[in-house]
Amino acid sequence: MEPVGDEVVRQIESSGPIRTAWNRLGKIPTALVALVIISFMVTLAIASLVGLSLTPYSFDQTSTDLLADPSWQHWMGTDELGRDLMTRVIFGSRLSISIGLTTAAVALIMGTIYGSIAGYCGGKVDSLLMRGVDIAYSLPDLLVMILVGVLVGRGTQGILMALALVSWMGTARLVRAQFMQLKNEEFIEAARACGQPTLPMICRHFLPNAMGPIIVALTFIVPSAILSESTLSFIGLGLSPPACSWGTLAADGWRSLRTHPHLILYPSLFIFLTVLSFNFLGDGLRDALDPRTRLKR
Amino acid sequence: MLSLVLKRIVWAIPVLFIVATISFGLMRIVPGGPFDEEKSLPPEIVANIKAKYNLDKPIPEQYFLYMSRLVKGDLGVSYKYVHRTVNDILADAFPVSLQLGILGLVLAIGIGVPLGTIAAVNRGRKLDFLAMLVATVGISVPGFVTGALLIFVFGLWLKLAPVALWESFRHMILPAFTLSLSPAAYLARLTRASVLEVMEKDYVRTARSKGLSSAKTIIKHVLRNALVPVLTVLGPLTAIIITGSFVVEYMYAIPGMGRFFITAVSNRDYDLIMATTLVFAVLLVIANTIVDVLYTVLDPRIQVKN
Repeated sequence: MEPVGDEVVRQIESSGPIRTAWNRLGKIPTALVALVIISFMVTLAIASLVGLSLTPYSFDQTSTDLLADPSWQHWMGTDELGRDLMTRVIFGSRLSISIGLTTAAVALIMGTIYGSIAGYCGGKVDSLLMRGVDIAYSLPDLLVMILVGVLVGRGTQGILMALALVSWMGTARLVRAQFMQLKNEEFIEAARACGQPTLPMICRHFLPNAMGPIIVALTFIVPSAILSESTLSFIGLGLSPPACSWGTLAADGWRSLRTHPHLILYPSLFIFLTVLSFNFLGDGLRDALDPRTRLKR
Repeated sequence: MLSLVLKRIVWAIPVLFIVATISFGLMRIVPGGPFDEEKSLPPEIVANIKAKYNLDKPIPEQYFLYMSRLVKGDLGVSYKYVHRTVNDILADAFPVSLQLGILGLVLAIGIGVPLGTIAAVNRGRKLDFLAMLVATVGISVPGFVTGALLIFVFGLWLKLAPVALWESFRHMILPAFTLSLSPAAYLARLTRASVLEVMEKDYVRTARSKGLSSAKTIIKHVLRNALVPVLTVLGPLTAIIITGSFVVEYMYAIPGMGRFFITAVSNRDYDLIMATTLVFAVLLVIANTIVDVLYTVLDPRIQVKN
């Protein structure tokens, strides 16, 4: 029998917000498929990181089989030096995935601290802190990243710094907005009336209640970081060989699009699938965490 | 309204000044200069070249020289394209990029807005799911993948359109489509959300209960109101188009601003980098000003507050 009225409310209260969100996420098929694909990609990256080889070749092992089409020996074919493309794509996943996840982590830490200060203090501190963010936020990420690249160089570290610089501002604005909203809640007032000091108050009352939207935003930062890195590498202003990411592989493949399209196809497919999955997961999480739709299903 | 526009323009000047200063600072503190060639030139020649471009003077003086030229509208000289001034290069490149950008924007609106509206009207049905699937795929495909796919299928395989250069309208088709896909997807998602919100409004229910057909309600009552927030994303949209133009102009060998920017960055061609950055900043400021003005024109409630 379908639970009705009070029964629904009681169920939700007893199961807690995380569990409810998790259950709701499980009912969104696209989010589930996305979760499976993301797990697969992350597993590939971890396997590559710990040196587990999933193919009989090593990523820089050349052979006489140059520019071979996909076959049983080389599932994704080989490149112009006879290196197995599948091995290289798997190897590239560790850089692409870790760039995405690292960026999200940096955005979480920097954005949360900055946004918390602005949102909690309010007033002059807030307008001072957010003014600059507002202007910088309206600049195109890629433009800023290219200029930062000119300054700090274009290695993996340079890319990570550039990505960190552009990606925390969105989180900061979001955290600030959440704090502004929460400030007027009664339970915050109650906590303050009980004399709770600032830091425990932020950690115990503000952050847990702002966590939902932050998690959703982070889910969208990962794919945009992966996209930015691969786009930069593609136009020659990001990573360049011997660094090996999906972006550099696609850039390599672009040069032989006419004759050997498989070289750009597979790295692109991995970028696309990963980015698509994160976007679907983000959409799913947003629906699952949105309290306005919580009782509708 | 006129005062609002004027106020905005006055505001834009310090913003552009700051952008110019920051980009000048960035270009001067980077290690390596435009004349660090692989085959090293004799030091006296390097000194001569640096003297010619004022690169041997102290940085504050360089900054002053640069700014005073900038105020007069002189953007400097390119170090790599020796016979050309930056003004010269931009005069050629800007119209090309503008054409590409406007074409891309028009296509994006033409694809994105109907797609989002169809999704919203069919909320929760298969058509909604399909339209949003297309839109999510659209924001997930990197520009270079769309480009490679279009070039491969329509250019190399079906041979329907040329795949490079910028000579006739036929040359513009594939680049414009490549450029439009991701803003179209972005617009579709936004339009859907906006239309859904308006459809719940009382006046829409009134219009329907008066017996107005569903199509007429959508066009006359829903879309007119739903498009206000959509129009106001012109700022971010311009940013997307500028970013997209880097990739598209690189792939299709189009002699536009994006392409020159990329080459200038790889060549450390300081004046050209600064000039293109400034032009992008001006474009963004213009777009955001238009948005502010549009806001007041389209939503009278905001005007009252001003």
